[in-house]
Amino acid sequence: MIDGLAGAFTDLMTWPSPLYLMLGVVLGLVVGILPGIGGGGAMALLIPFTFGMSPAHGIAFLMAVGASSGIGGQITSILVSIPGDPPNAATVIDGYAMTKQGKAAEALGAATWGSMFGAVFGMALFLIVLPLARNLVLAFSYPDFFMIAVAGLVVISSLTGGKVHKGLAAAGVGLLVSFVGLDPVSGNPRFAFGTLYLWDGIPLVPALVGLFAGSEMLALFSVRGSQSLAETDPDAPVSRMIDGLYSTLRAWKTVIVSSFIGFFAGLVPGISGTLAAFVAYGQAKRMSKNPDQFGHGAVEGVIAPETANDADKGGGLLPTLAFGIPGGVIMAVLLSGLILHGVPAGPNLLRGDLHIVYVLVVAALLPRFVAGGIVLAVGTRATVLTRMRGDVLAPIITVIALIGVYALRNEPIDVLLALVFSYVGYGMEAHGFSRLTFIIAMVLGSLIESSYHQTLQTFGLRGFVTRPIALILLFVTVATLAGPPILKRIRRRRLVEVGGDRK
Amino acid sequence: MSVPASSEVDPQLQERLRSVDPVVFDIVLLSFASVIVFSALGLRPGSRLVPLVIGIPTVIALVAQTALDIFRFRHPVQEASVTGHDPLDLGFARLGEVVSAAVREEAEDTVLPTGEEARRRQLLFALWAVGLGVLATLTTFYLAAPIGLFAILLAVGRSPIKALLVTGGVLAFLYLTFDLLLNVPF
Repeated sequence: MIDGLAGAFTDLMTWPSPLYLMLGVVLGLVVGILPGIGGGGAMALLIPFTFGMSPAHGIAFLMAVGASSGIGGQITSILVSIPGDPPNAATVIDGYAMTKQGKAAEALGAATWGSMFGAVFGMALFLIVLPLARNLVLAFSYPDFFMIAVAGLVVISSLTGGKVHKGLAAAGVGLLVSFVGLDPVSGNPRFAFGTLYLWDGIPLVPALVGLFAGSEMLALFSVRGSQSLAETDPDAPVSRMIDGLYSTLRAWKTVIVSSFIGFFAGLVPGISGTLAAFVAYGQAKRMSKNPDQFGHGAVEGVIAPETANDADKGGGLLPTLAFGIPGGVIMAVLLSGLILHGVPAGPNLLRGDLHIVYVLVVAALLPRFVAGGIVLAVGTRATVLTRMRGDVLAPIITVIALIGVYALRNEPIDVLLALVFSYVGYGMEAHGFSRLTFIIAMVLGSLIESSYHQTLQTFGLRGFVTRPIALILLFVTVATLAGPPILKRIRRRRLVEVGGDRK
Repeated sequence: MSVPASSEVDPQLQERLRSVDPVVFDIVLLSFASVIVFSALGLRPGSRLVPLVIGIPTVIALVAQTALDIFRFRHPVQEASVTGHDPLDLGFARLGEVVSAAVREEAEDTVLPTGEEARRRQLLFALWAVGLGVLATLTTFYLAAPIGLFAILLAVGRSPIKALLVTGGVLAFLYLTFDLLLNVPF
C-alpha cells in the first residue's frame, strides 16, 4: 500500500501533473466560492479538458477540483452566509454567527483544519477497508452485480429529490436513455430512429455538462448583484486563523466522531456530503458541554460539518470504485471520467492494478492541503470573487463548456445535445426529479442490462434469489421501498394509541 | 405540531402550484418513455426484454405523476398546506428528520430565483444559448463564441469596450487552453 501511494505521488509530481493539480485547486476554490456552480457541476464542465491528459492525470485533475470546491464553499458559508456547495449548508449556522462576532478568521481556520483532518481520516479509513472490499468484490457474480446496481438506484432514488416515485421515474428515464445505441445482445442498433449519430448511444459528456451546468448557469445569470460580508461588532476581539487550529485540536473528539459519520454516510449512495454534515452537526451538539451555544457561534458547529463533509469522500470512493455505484454528484462525475478515459470502473478496477486508486487517494488529499493553505493565506479576502457579476460569468462559463463539449469529438450535435440536457436538467430540478439518479442510471444502464442477460444465461431466473449476496441486496431493495411507508404507518398507529390512552 | 392554515398560504406559492409547468414537463418525460417502449415492441425478444421491463413501469409512474400534477393544478391550496415545514433542531432530531432536512437543503439550493426580472433574464439566457449552439453548428466556434459573448454582454448592459475586452480575454484563454496546451482545435 505504501509503495502504491508512493508510486501515485511520484506520478502526480511528474510534469505537467503538478500544473494540472494546481489548476484544479484554483478552479475548485473559485467554483466553491461562487455560490451555485458546485464541485460536481464544475467537474462535469471540465471533463472535456482532461482528454488531452493521461488517464491518471486527468482523473487526478477532476478529483482536485472536487476536493477543493468544498473548502472554497466554506468561505462563503462563513463570511457571507451563502453555502457555495449544499454540503456547506450546515456550516452557515455557526460559521456566520462567528463572523458576526468578529471571529471570522477563527471560523475559517477551524473549518479548514477540520476539512483537512476529515479528509485524512476519510482516506485512511478507505485504505483500511479497501482490502476487505477487494475480497468482497471477488465474491460477486452477474446476479449480484445486477442486484447491487438496482439496489443502488433504489437507495439513491429514495434519498435524493423530494419523492421516492419521482426518483424512481428519473432512474427509469435515465435507464431508457442508456439503452439507446447498439444492443449488447445482438449488436444491432436500437432506438436510433434512423440516425447514425445515435448508434453509439447518447454520449455521457454532453449529458453531464447539460444536466449539472444548465440550471446553475441559468441561476447564476439571474443574479445581478453581489453578496456582501456580515457586519461585525466593532468592539469584538479580532480572531486569528491559528485560533481555528487550536479550536480544532481542542475539539478532537468532535473531529473523530464527525470523520466516522462522514465516512459511513459516504458509503451510502444518495446525498452523502450534505447528510453527513447535518448528522455530524447534530451529533456535535449532543456531545457538547454547551449545546446552547450551537446556533450562536459554537466553533464545534463549524468543525463538525466540515470534517464530515470531507471525510465522506473517502467513504464515497468505496462504492464508486468497488462496485461502480457512485454515492453523490462528485462521485458520479468521477465515475464518468474514469469510464471516458477507458479505466475499468467497478470490480475490474479492484481486481487489477490499483495504481489509479492510489492516484485518487493522493489527488484527494494533496490538493486539499494546497487549497487549505491558500484559504489560510488569503482568508477573508477570497470573498472578492462573490462580487463578480453573475450575468457576465454565466455566459463565459457556458461558452467554455460548450466548446469543451464540441472539442471532444468535433461533433456539432453534441453541443445541441448539451443544450437539450440543460433544459432537461432545469426541468428536473424545478419539478423535483433527481438529476443525480438520472445520470447514475444512465451510467449503470449497460451494467444492469448485460448482467441481467448474463444471469439468465448462466443461472436462469433463479440466480437472482438463490445467491446469498443477490438475496441480501434484493432484501435491501425491498426494504428501502417498503420500509418507510410501513414505519410511518406504525408510528402513526402508536401516536393514535398514545392519544387514546391520554383520553 | 402546527400545520399552516390554508388561508395563510403564500399567494406566490399558490401561483406556482397553479402553473402548468410541472404537467408539461411530466408530459415531455412521458412522451420520451412511451416512444422508447413503443419502439421496443418492434425489436427481437432478447433486445426488448430489459427496455420493456424498465420502460413499462416508468411509463406507469409518469402517467401517475402527470395525473397527480393535473390534480395539484386544479387543487393547489390543499397541496400547499402540506409543503410547510418546521425548523429542525439538529441536536435532538431523529435520523429520518435529518435526512429530510438534508434533502430539502439540496433541493432548495438549486431553486431558481423568481420574479419578473429573473424570469426575463432566464429566458434571455436560454434563447442566447440556443442561438450560440445553432451559430456554432452552422459556422465554427471561432466565430460563434466571440459574436455570442459580445452580444450577450451588450444585452446585459456592459459597455462595448468592456464587452470587447472580456470577449478578447475569453477568446485568448480558449485559444491558449484548447489549441496550444491541449492541442484540441475547436
